[in-house]
Amino acid sequence: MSLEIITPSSGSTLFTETKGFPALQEALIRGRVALQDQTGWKVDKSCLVVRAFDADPGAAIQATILSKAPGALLEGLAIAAFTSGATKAIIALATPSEALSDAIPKLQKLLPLEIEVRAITPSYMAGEDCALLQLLAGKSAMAGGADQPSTLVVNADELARLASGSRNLLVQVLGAVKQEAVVEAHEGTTLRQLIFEQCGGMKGEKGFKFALVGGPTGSFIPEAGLDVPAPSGTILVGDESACTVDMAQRCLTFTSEENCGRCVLCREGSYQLKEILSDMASGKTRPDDEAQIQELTAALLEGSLCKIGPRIADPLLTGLKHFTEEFEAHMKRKRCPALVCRKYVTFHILGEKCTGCGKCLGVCPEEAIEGEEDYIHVIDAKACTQCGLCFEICPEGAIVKAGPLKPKTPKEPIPVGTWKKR
Amino acid sequence: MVAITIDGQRVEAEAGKSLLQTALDADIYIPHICSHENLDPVGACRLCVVEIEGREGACTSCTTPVEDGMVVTTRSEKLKQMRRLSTELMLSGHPSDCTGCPKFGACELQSLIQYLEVTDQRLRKRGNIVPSDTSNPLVMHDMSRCILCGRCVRACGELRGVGALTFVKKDGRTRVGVRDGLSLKNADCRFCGSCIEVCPTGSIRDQEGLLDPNMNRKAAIVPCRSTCPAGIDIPRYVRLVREGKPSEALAVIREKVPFPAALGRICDHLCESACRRSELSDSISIRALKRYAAEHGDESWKAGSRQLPTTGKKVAVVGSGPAGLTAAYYLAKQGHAVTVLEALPEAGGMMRVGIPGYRLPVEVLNAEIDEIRKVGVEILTSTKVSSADQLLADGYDAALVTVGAHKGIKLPTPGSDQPGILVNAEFLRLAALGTPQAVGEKVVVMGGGNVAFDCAGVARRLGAKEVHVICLEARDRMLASPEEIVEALEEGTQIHPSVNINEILGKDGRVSGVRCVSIRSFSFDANGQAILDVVPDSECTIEADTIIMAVGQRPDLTEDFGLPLGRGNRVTVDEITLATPKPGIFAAGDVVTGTKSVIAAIAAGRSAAASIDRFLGGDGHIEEVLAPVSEPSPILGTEASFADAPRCDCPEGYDDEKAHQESSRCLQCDLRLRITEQKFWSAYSHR
Repeated sequence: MSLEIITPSSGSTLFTETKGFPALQEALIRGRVALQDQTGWKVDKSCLVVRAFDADPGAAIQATILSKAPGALLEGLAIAAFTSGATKAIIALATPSEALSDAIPKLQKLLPLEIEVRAITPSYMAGEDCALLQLLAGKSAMAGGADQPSTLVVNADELARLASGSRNLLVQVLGAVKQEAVVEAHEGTTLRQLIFEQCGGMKGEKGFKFALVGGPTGSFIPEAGLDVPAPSGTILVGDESACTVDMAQRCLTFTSEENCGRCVLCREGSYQLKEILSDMASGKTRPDDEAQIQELTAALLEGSLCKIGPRIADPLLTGLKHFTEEFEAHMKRKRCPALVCRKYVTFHILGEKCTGCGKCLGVCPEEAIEGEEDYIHVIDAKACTQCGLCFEICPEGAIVKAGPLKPKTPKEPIPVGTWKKR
Repeated sequence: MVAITIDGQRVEAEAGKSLLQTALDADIYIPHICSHENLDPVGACRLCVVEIEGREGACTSCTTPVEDGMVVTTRSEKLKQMRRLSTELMLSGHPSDCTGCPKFGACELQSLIQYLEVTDQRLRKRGNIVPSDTSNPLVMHDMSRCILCGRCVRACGELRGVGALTFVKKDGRTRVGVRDGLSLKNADCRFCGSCIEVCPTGSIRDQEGLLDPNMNRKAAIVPCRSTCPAGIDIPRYVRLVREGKPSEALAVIREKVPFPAALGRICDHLCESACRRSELSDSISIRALKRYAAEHGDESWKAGSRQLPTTGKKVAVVGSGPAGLTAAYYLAKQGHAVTVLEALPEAGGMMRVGIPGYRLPVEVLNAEIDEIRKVGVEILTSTKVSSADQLLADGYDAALVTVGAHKGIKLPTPGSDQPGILVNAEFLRLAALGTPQAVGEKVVVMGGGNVAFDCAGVARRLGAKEVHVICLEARDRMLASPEEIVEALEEGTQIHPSVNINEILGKDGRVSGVRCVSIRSFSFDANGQAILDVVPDSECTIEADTIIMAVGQRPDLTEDFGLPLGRGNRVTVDEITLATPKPGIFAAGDVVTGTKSVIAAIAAGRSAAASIDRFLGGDGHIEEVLAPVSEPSPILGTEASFADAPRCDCPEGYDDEKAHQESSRCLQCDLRLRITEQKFWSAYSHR
């Protein structure tokens, strides 16, 4: 993916190596204690595993470090090995990197560190340390299983930070912003600054609605909550044309399919929450769904086997907390204010705008549109599956989505121009 | 050892053991389903959660090692809610019907539903339609019932070192399946059945119809050992052969029978017919492995052989066949003075005069009979006993009648009173004792059992050029063992199944042939008369100058012997004690059951010895351990093409390499019984 990479105006620090390898050795010897204070690592590890791939779908943070700063990665690795006492390192990545492989021998002259580069198929679960270690051991990427206290798992960006001494972070901003980018931001940069300054603010006319911070197990942040430091990771920006219920449903669908399946709470709990959300978006909310949400999310928080479990409920919980009205509209009034959730939306062709070009009819997969050239086209509500293709294709913007209030439209095709807007 | 407190109760525990196992061992029930005593814990089901003082939240007791001074609560409202939710979540993807499931009543999930009082009705149901996989002959997968506890994956991988089962992700859903989408055979499954044993629900089961419903489950799982009339610990000795320890294997065999070498050649191996291996490829050559152990094992088994002090009691055993000699052997070891009285000039019974020497060499038999003499048994040959009562009068404290069934049946077929018509038992006996009856060039043997084929083989070796075996049974219903039939065919013997001999023809004062007719089927009426469904116009004549009738044998006794005789001239005895109506006189073997097998006679000899020992004031305990008892290794590992590995056939007996190869094919079904049975909640005092 060719995302723009935005670096601070004062120059990048994460992507630049320190004073080169010879000087690194000096720095290492002087700095072990300081490093241990900084990282909290003691000399008690035998193996380091570097996560040089992105587990979040669509993310490119570790990949950016790998492609733009393999040297910094390796320097950071040297420092981490030195600090923790590890003698073996495994760099797990998605696609082979020549730059990295070329730089490894230089590092090995410096430290007696055995480095192995392993190509793996990235998956969401590989973002969980235990699962990654299982994967590297040739087993399925599943959480749980025997503890491995002598192995330390670190991300590539952590190592780059260690090497450069910089406190900058990499944050990836996607969605309804003018400039989607991987941003190297100073520590403490707020979400608001990132979205509205560095990424140019909202893309279209619709205003800001939410920022989903942290991927499919992240949190919804409303506009009022944007003045907090942005964490490293992905931020998905949604404008008013997006629906948090729909977004939460996508998150839960993702986690219900991507979970490793080891522990029953996450494996089945994510499915239950996904179903509850799906029912919420299609008018099938059950009376005890609210109570079940409470119960399932509490169980996930308290009883999960791994660190991912408690987080899978975050989109739903933060959505309920910060977008209560939107959720209640879906659950209790069978409405989707953003007109996203298909079951709550109908499509209509406005009589006063339709020019009878027929493009919508041509694209409808259900043959739900009636009309001829120069006649106002009409959508048959019973046959319509709300796929939205006609909405996308109409050059006149004559097709509109409607919630409970439906616009008046012709009942059958009549010649263009003969419909008076009422 | 450390001390902890569980629900206010002080419990001692081994340091490092899991909290769950510690509680269960202290008779305190904590719900669990993914954990198993023989497997490493994972904490997947979240059922075994407990609260530990000083630690936040609840933790799974299976993955928590005990530490001295721990204070644990296993019961609380919160823990109950957590456990109920976990169970409901497991049930959400599980079929609703318990009643239709073969595991009903034995299912750990069902037991949890009962204990926690939950249903599958509260949460949304998750479809889980997975077609059953019945493609494998031994193991069936009904994965719609799988709750993903992972026990089978761990059992296959960690416990057995095979790894044929694994978690797979299919269409965004985690499932348990055979690795790489292979069949069990191609995934190098060892068919040890451990997955079946650990599965808590009805997902992985023995293939329908495989476990004999007439045996209790544990016996049915190891059918070879359970089918052997003498109960020889077959899996154990096969394992010892595989480990290169023929002497210990021999010792295991000798724990139950005193004729390993003889049986290794002629046993009719019911075990091999029952062997589960035969569902995959060929059954294990258990008999040949027995012969290997007998030929390669040393005498170290004697070191543990029990010999009780002299009791002063005297026992007479009439007949030195396998039943009599076995009983004599064990009675002598129990301390009694045993005298075997054998009417013939040679000892061994049917092993000597029924089974031809080319199948069971005389030296082999005599060596084993010598071992019986070595424990003090006196064998008097050429000594016929004509009265059972006389034995007690002669001073014996008890007598065992094991005279077998040595009188061949002569059918009253028209033309059966001519020279040239011989009878099975007599024919084989005289040939075996070196004074054979003469046979001509063309021999017809009437009958389709092993004895008929023995007659055919002996006749051929006495000079017959053309040998025919004619029997009523259809080819696939012939009673002879397939090996004997194959051997006979290889020697050129012609077999005529489904044929009845209507008349024996004669010419010039001697038999000249038989007139036969083909039949479609036959049966016997209440009087033993044959009812035949004859094929019309199928008459034919087979020329022969010698007829040998091999249609059955009876005990050679009359009422004068002093014992009441029942159907087929057999002696009636009490089923349990083997006592005849005459106090102090017992009977066992073919004389009681009619012709059966050498191994059945040996088993009967054991029972008789135990019973007579009790009669004489002993404890009747003849079981002994002759081979060192060791824990078999649970690791099996993988072997390429294991499922298809063919049997190693070697008529001259195995050498070390072939014995190792053949014994390595064993599925080791007995390892299943070493997997600890999981107890339900109702078995615990604290629950």
